[in-house]
Amino acid sequence: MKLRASIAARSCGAALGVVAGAVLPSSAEAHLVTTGLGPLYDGISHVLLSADDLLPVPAMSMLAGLNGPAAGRRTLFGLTGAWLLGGLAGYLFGQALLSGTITCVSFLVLGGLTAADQRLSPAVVLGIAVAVGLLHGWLNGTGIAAAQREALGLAGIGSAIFVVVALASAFVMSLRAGWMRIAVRVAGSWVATIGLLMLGWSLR
Amino acid sequence: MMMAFGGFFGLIGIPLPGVEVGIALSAVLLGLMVAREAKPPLIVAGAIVAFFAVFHGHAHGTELPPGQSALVYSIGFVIATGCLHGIGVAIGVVHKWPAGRFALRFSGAVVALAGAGFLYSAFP
Repeated sequence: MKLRASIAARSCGAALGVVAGAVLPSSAEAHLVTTGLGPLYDGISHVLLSADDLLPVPAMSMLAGLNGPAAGRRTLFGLTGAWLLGGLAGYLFGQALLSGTITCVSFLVLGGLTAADQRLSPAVVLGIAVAVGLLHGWLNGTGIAAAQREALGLAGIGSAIFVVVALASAFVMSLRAGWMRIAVRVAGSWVATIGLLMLGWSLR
Repeated sequence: MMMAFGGFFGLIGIPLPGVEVGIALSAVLLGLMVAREAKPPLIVAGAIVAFFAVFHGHAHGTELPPGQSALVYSIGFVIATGCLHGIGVAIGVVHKWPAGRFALRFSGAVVALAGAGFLYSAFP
């Protein structure tokens, strides 16, 4: 008897909970269509979906990977840190300037150096990574400020860049076969080609 | 890269004489080389491909309508060119079989004939 009463009481409680849960909230906002992804995930998806910001990251990673582990490690932190710093500066003080030119030049320089398999010291690779990070970060920061979005998006952008650089540069460094190194150089030439065509388009 | 240089010149409006003739000649010459199983030194093969790539790229650069996305167009240009190279390399694998060798040489002859047709139509 006691057991049946306990089961009945629990069932009633559960039923009341379900009814209350179904009736009380005016809007559940359980789907991303209504809530959006939030600024952090907006930042992550921006990097992964915007080719003008995505392409320089694997290109920089390939260049770092071809130049060895020291260059890779410095690029991992240098590119991400500079991108965040540039983004914050752009968000606080910036105006978007020459975005097309910056994109073209970074594609041409990173793709060209990768295609040429140019041996660079880790310090030079770090310098290039910092320059690329500051310029693209600046553009992202000014874009976020212009759209009146939250600066937290920069953290999402930085996270995505960190992961892409870590995976891509480590992958390139792990390649041993000669033809694979050539494949990386071909990919670099593709990035440079895109930059060259964009430059032609902008001068049209 | 040389195709992109051609595209760049086309985009900024630098004229290149005989584009259609160059494209047709590329089909004739490369088709004949495949048909004859020619094996030129690497530097010669590279120079031939680079020379004709400028004409192909220039045609793409000049024939595109204005107002498109520069980035998407550039990415599409590169991906399409890369995929065509990949397909060509994959087709070339059949060369290790006797029937494949014949098919490749036959295909080369067809390409050369098509190029000759283009060349003929390029002159009014």
